[in-house]
Amino acid sequence: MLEASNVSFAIGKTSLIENVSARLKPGAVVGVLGPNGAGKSTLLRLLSGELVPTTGRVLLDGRDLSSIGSAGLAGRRAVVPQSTALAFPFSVREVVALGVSVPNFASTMDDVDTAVTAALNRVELSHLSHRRYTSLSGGERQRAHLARALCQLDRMPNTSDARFLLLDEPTASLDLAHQLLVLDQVTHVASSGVGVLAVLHDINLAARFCDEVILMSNGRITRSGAPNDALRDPELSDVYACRVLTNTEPPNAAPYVLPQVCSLHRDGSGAS
Amino acid sequence: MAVDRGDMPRHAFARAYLARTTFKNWSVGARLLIGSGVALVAAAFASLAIGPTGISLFAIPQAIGAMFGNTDDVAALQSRLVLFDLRLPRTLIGMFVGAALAVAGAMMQGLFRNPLADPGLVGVSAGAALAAIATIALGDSLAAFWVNALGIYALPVSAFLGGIITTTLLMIVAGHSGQLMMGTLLLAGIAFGALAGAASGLIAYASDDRELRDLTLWSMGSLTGSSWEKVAAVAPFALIIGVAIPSLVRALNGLLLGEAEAYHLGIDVPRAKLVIIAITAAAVGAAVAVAGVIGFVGIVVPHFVRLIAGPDHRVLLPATALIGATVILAADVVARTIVAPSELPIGIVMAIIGAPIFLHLVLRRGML
Repeated sequence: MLEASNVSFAIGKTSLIENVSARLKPGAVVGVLGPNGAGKSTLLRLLSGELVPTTGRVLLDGRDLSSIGSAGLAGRRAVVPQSTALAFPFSVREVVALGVSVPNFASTMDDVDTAVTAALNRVELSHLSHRRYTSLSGGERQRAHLARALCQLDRMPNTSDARFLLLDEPTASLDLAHQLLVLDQVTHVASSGVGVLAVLHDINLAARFCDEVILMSNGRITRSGAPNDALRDPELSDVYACRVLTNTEPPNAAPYVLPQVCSLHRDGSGAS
Repeated sequence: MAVDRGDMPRHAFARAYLARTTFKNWSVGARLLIGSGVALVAAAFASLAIGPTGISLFAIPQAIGAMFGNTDDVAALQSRLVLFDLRLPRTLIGMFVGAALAVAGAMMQGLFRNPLADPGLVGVSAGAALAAIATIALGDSLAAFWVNALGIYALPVSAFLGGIITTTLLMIVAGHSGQLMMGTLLLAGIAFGALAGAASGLIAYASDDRELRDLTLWSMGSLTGSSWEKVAAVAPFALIIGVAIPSLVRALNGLLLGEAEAYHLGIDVPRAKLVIIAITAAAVGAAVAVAGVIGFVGIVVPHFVRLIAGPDHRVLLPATALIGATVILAADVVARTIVAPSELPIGIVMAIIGAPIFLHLVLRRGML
């Protein structure tokens, strides 16, 4: 289990996240939603160990992340960042293979080749495997990084330990079909026992693919729970400062959310 | 599978022959490593065989005889002197300097994720050079005790310390609660480099003619005066660098994706950065100490290798070391033969060869 308990994170006097708790269970997909600057990515970076909370603790199976070390963590969780610039032109294949280049991952060359090929197939990038990463479009780069993370999950040495996948806006630059493909892969990974946390902007995709959603605004959790509980008005309209329509029929289905043109319905108080 | 020559045109036969060998199936990296290894051996032989005295490799048996036997043969003694006491240490020093500077460049570019990063750019070379120049200029007066205490090691140790001091200062300036700010480091490095250059200029301005000539030659880079003492002085550095580099490959590859991604891939980023910077300072300090300031190797050679084999440091670092050594040996052969019996500073030769190649690489690539 990977959990943040009452974490806050501040840079100087600016607080980015206050008193947030979240819990990732093996096999479950948790979606993090909220407007820009709500602290979604900060929460993800705290869970990955990249940031150390100012107060509160992040625990992996009850152990504080800072006591585990980067190599140990890399054997338990993979991270797909929001965007990655590459200083020198690796090929797509080489970028994906970096997912296997982790300390303590014992792999022969053939193992690596098989894992990389499989991961590229899963994100439909096999045809670009020898292209330079720097020549890819934004969406193709995102899929390459997902393939890298899939490789890393695939080669983790202790399969008996729970594994985790953290994704920061994995569908941001993708076309419709590839959004579905990526989230399909993510749920597939989860069904093999991996605990997943994904920062998402598309509320409907989150409702469709997540077992649980966390709705954040201003560095705090506004609401969390199963999608058809949590993704309801008035919280949604409040959090996004934008009137949304949500379906209520049938009551147990994934909610469907339709934003309305914001400026027409916004009250004057918050606007400047 | 044999290839039947038959009536094939020559080029078709050559192609079929190459296709028959497993060579064709090897990766680009493996072929580059083998090719650059062969080139280095050839350059080393050239460096041993060519020189203004006209003594060639055929004199080796004679020279070995003179080393172990007791001979009065003037020609044999001269062969021994030229081959084993002049050209061999010079060749070894040249190989070390070329490999060290080229690898230092490749590591800095990987660390800073910037194709223009080079020890020259962040002031490490200039710091090492300033320390050495100060030692030369003040050797008779203020630094006399230092020179007396260290003897022939005064210069190498000074330059190495200069490199380490510059790097330490940079790390203090750019350090921020345990993190190293790469942007600050690059900019501060440029400032330090300019300061160290100005200080070197001041010392040169205050020097007498004989010192000035020494300083000028030295600040343009030269392998003149290579000796077994210098080989011994850089050997420990070569050993440390050679041992440390394989452990840095994974970190350097991961860092190309960014520091956060490197951390996600299990790399201890702060420690890796410190080790990379320390090893770079050691390589540059030792190289500047024995050969002065030689430019372009650290930037042209890694770029050349990346163009052919890509940026994977598993191939990049060894290939860069081999080709860097080859390039410096070749440039040195030119430097000591083209105006024989006099010698050009190797830094000038490197700039003349390196600048156009660098420009060509830039144009061919369209970008850096």
